[in-house]
Amino acid sequence: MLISVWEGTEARPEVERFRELWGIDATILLDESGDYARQLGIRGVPTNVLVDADGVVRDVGLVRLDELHAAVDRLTSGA
Amino acid sequence: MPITTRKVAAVPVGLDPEGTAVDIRRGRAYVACSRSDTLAVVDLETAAVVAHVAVGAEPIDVVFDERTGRIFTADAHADALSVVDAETLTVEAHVPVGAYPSGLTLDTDERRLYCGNSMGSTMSVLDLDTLETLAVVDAELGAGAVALDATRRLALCVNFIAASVTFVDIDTFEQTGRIEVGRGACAVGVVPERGEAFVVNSLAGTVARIDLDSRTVVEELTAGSAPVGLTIGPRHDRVYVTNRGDGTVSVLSVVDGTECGRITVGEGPGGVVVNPDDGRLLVANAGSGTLEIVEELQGGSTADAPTEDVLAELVGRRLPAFSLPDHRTGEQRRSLEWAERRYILNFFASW
Repeated sequence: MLISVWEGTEARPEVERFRELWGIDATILLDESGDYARQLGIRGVPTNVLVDADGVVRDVGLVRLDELHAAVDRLTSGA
Repeated sequence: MPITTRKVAAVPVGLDPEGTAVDIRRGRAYVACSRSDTLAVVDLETAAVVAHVAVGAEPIDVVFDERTGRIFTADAHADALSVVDAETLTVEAHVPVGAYPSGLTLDTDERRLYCGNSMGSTMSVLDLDTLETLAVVDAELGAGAVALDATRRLALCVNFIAASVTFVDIDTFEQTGRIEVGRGACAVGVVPERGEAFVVNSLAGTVARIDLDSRTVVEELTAGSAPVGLTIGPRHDRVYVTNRGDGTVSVLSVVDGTECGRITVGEGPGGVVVNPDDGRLLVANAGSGTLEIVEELQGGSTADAPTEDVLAELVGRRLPAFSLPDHRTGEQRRSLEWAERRYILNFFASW
């Protein structure tokens, strides 16, 4: 499952345009003040945070596609 | 690293709140208010009481069983437990136990509830599903707080007046030993992978570290003034000790016992738990009549910009809870909705 957190003001119309452009079906939440991103220590986008079934963070960052695929494989295999 | 926290809320709950339990699925805390004879139900998102349930006389401790959706209070002056349905918030039953029940703990794997009966000098063991009493084990005067070590198949019952710990085999319910600890022993936590237990000795003002294999006190740790409550952090790296005498919570390192932080809370703190969902500390302040919700900040105050290390330090830790609006519906979506699922949070922006 993918949750996209959108950072920035006046987000809703921008998000909708982005979603249509890329055909995103996933849940998109808005972090317009950036407070949540700041709380996690995120300083740049895009940044990915992978969470396991116990709510524990397993991996962060993963900007490159091959890194992300490898991390998702690890997450789904339970490694 | 020094601990920095912020007070999220101090929720008025009733008179002399003591024991506290968390219901992750419903996003609630349940607080036993001993002088109100009530169970306060606190919504943790809104930080507000949503209900008061009348239970028995002087409820001191409380536990919550997720599987049955039952809340149990130890009603000290009623010599009984109240069983409350978490969905309807109505009392289902009163179950007699020993004299002056004051400490509860659950074994959700074996489906048992353990209750220390202070004036009865016993520990009751009940079937969590049928509520049948399986055993009444002799302990000592002031039997109260109980903790379990499933690895060693042990229950530890702390005896306040006797200043001792009774060890009980949880397969046979037989006493297998006792040790002396400090005066006023009243709270206990176990770290099974280290083979250690920590016991608060309120009158001695210390925390005893016990080696569970040799069954000896190996160290006496110091906390604040009049320590009375204890909980082990979810990563088993910290012991949180509430200090009734000075309105603080000491944060002790499990590894070396040093105090790595002290958090100011309300008056007369006692019961303490860590919300496993978001890592926040919930402290029942008996003197203030509040449930205090405390959040630990990463690397400094909210005014400081977090460093890149903060993100890396998230790995292996629980994701901080979120509540953010859905871009389509505007509805607040909480991290609880994705409990027990694997997912990716992708942060992106329009620029």
